[in-house]
Amino acid sequence: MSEILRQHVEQQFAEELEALKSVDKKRKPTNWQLSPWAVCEYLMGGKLENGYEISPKYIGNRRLMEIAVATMTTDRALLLYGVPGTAKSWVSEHLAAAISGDSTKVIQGTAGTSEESIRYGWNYAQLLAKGPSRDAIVQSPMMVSMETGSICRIEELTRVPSDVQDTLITILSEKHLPIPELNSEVQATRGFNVIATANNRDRGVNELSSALKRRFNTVILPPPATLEEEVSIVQKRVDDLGHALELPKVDAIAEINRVVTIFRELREGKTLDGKEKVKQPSGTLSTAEAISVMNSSLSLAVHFGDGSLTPFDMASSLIGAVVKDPVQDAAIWREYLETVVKERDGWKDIYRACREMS
Amino acid sequence: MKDATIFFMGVRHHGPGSAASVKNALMEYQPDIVLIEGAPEAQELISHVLDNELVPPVAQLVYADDDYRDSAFYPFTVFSPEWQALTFAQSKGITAKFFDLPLTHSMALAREKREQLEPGEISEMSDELDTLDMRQDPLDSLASAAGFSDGERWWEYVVEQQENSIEVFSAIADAMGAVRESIEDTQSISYREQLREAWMRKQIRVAKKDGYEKIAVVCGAWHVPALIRSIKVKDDNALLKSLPKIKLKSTWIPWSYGRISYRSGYGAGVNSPGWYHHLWEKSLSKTSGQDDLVVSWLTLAARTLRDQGYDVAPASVIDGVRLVNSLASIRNSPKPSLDDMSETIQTLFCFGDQMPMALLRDKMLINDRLGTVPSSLPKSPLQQDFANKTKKFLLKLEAVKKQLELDLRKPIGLNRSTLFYQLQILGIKWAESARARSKGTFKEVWTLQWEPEFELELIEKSVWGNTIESAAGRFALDSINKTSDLDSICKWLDKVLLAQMSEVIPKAIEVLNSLASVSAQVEELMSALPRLVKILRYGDVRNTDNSSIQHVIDGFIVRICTGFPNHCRSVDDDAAKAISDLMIEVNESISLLDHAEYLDNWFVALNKVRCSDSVHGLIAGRSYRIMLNADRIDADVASAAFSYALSTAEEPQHAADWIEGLLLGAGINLVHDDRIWSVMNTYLCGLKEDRFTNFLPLIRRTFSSFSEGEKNNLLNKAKVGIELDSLSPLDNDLEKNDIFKFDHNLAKQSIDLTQMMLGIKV
Repeated sequence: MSEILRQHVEQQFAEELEALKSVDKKRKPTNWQLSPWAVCEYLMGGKLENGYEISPKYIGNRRLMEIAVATMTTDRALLLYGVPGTAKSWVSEHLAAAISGDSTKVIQGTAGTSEESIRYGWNYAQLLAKGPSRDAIVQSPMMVSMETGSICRIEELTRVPSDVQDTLITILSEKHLPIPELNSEVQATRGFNVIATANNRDRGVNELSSALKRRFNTVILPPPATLEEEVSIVQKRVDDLGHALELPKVDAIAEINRVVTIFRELREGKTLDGKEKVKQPSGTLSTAEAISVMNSSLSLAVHFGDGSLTPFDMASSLIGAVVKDPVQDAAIWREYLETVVKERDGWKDIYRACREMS
Repeated sequence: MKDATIFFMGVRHHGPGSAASVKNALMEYQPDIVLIEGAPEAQELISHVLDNELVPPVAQLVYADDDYRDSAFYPFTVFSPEWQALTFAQSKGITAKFFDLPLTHSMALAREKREQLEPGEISEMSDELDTLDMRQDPLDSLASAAGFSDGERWWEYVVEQQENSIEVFSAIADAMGAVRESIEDTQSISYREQLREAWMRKQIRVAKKDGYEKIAVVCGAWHVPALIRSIKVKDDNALLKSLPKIKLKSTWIPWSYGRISYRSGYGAGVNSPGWYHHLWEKSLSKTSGQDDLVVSWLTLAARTLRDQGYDVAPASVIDGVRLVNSLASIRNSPKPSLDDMSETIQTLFCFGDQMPMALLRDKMLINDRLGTVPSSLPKSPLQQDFANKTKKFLLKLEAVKKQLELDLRKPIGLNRSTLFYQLQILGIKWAESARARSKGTFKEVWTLQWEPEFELELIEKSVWGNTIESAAGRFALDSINKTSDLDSICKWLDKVLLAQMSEVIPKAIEVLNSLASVSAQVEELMSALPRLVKILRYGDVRNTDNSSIQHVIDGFIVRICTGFPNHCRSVDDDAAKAISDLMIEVNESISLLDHAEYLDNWFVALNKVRCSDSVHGLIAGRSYRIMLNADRIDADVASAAFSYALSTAEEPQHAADWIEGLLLGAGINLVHDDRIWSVMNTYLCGLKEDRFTNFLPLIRRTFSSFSEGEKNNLLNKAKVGIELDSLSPLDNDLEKNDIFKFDHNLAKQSIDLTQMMLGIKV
């Protein structure tokens, strides 16, 4: 096993990508590693005709992924939109890996993202020594992607200040990046496109201008539709991460079921059978958080327990995930414990564990 | 295939692909007779098919003159295979024949069955009505075998979207045969279905016997295997022996796409008639390619969204067409499907948002197209009756809004008003009642505006009866029977009384009475009572007999008075608010009736409530107000209660509620009625300063709800009192002598009069 903490997905799933390449007879757009069909297969998983099993990367509606992939073949860029923890970055990473074989061209959007990080910067030592020239330019991932004809990813696009966002308009509509200082430009090679992610829960973000919005196809990724779907997502990711963190495999499906149930009930504001109303805490309680709850309880169990997962291992991280506001959320959590968890058959242990912790 | 004597075409009732395939296949096969699944009663209607004035969507209405429940609709659209078969036959001069089991038999059977049921029991009528119903969708099993989520989607893919040759029909027959076998293994085919198929087989034999050599059969795909099967003539005849009969009439009526869609509850409906219409129109113009279909649909969507205030750039349409095509190729489908387009529209035009898609559903997917029928056609009896009535009462159908004032003392006014109310019961909102300017009960103002859909409503309501009055009566009866809460029954009773439907009134009262005795929900009774009293008190302009209502009211009041005290225990704030409002209404109604016994009962109940400790502050306060107003309680008792309710130990919330119950909306009472005034005034003036400061917010809450004028009057009234009080400590003699010599009220009267004369105050 390599020493790298987290490999890029194209390294992690290199074998699957190779297998797909070997069976992929369909037409590939220029500079694409796989055909659109194969990209969909890669994302959704399934058995290839030669019997090779592709693991599913996205668990949910296939049609959404088809729209996403189809978008990449058109003129427009892709905007993945949704509440936190709906696998937006995950999908964009895998899309880039499957289409360009490279998911590393990424710009992290923050309030401090400047125009330089989207276009290009200057290496001032070079600039002073040689004057303005191509050598003095520090290329942004965007510029590299345009030159090589690959996918550039932008994380959290709505956090980028509006004026910086609009730099993208020329790049997306005219597919070239002017460099006025050199009286030159970079023209995008075929295969270049942009995948941006943005979440719609945060306040104080910069909405896209309508000019920019029109250059994107928006795909809204919904939270998992059913309990089963969500459980399988959590389980898969917990297994993957446990593997990366070198945790021994622990059978935790029953506990995952309970954590996901608690998350879903609190998120939707009612019990799964729809019979009882539940107050909603302030946190987002996304699937991603359920995954992290499971991961930290697993490492607790492995490093400080006897290796098997007990409700006591879960209680503290569970409470940490639910109670974001120490006053209101704590009351909501207490009420949920007393009215729902306590009454449920076979949940006595988790109730007791949470009671003791909170 | 081309030379066979009989050629079966299994279709789905509405689908452009089926329709196109049927049209092509008929051209190729060149039949000398076309048998079409449909009621033979509508045979004579075929001659109208080529009439320019008959524009689909239309439906054949087959109905019995004597019983509204025996009627059936057969909708046709331009993309119905049956419609295409009919136009083909008519334009080529070939015999076309409806060969389904005559409705005269199936309706007679339904009627027999109905008569066997207990009177009043409602049979599953809708099943009998929809003769085109395809049972549980048999396509679903085929679809799941092919890996599709549902039958409609599969059919869409295999049949509707492909350019099919004549061969497709034998493939459908084979596939359906297999499906039907597996279904018949697990469940039996219904008696009615057996009869229909036997009849169809018989008709095919008749056609052969008549010497036709090329017989084309157009029927639901589901029936094809049964028609191909060789069954002994004897068996079929035995099944069809001595079927009952009733007399039926038939006509064409206009229909709408909304009523073809699934949402309208039509069994053989389709999800998106608007889309099918578009497909059909595009398939007619041979020159247009696939791209044109997508381009035109997306452009239409963009325009529709723009009309609704969404900005959709033309550039988005261009990108949309590309995305649709990429999607179709990723999904391996030969042509883009509606789903591809809807998803594209959502992603591109609506920025991923689902909400605007709902706008498209009504405007585009369903489409609001209305059909027309030749004016020379016989109308349904209900339409006829409506036409007669409007003529008789000198009313015109106009699309422009118009006001009409009726004088109910004149027969024509009363008749018109009755007709309007009856139409309202039927849900035809031609006339809406507007507020009359004068307060007299003999005047009504109506706003009239005729919409084309009303014609359709009339036709749809034809199932309820052949005259407006009888249809409205049966419709109301049916609704009343289905209602289970008092409030809506009372609303119905109101409507029925206004519409003068004397035969329905006793029934409504009966239902009302039985509901009232079963559901002892005091609150429901309380909210229903004022309406009943109103009917009893003011209903007489219309000469309706309402002695039976008196009886119902008796029961109501007894139940309210016995149940009320208990009902007031442990209620939450919202419920208390509702109850305290109702108390005022009920009190007014009971006072209006002015019946000693009622009043006594009511005040006994209120007395219990006011004495009880566990009652919500609002309700307690309200009881005191009503009783004080009616002089049913001593001022001393009230003062004691007042100070008790506002004691320091009492919860501030309760105290505030109590005050609110006592005073809310009673500003005018406070001004003119000294009873409440003096109780309050005494209490307030006796308060120490710090206590008064604490108390102020509570009372302010209620006082702030009074109107400006009320507040001014109260202020004046209070000032007078203060003047009295402030003078008192000076000199006892002065008080005795001067104050009583000086009459403030008298002085005020003269001041008021002077002000009025000077025009300062009106």
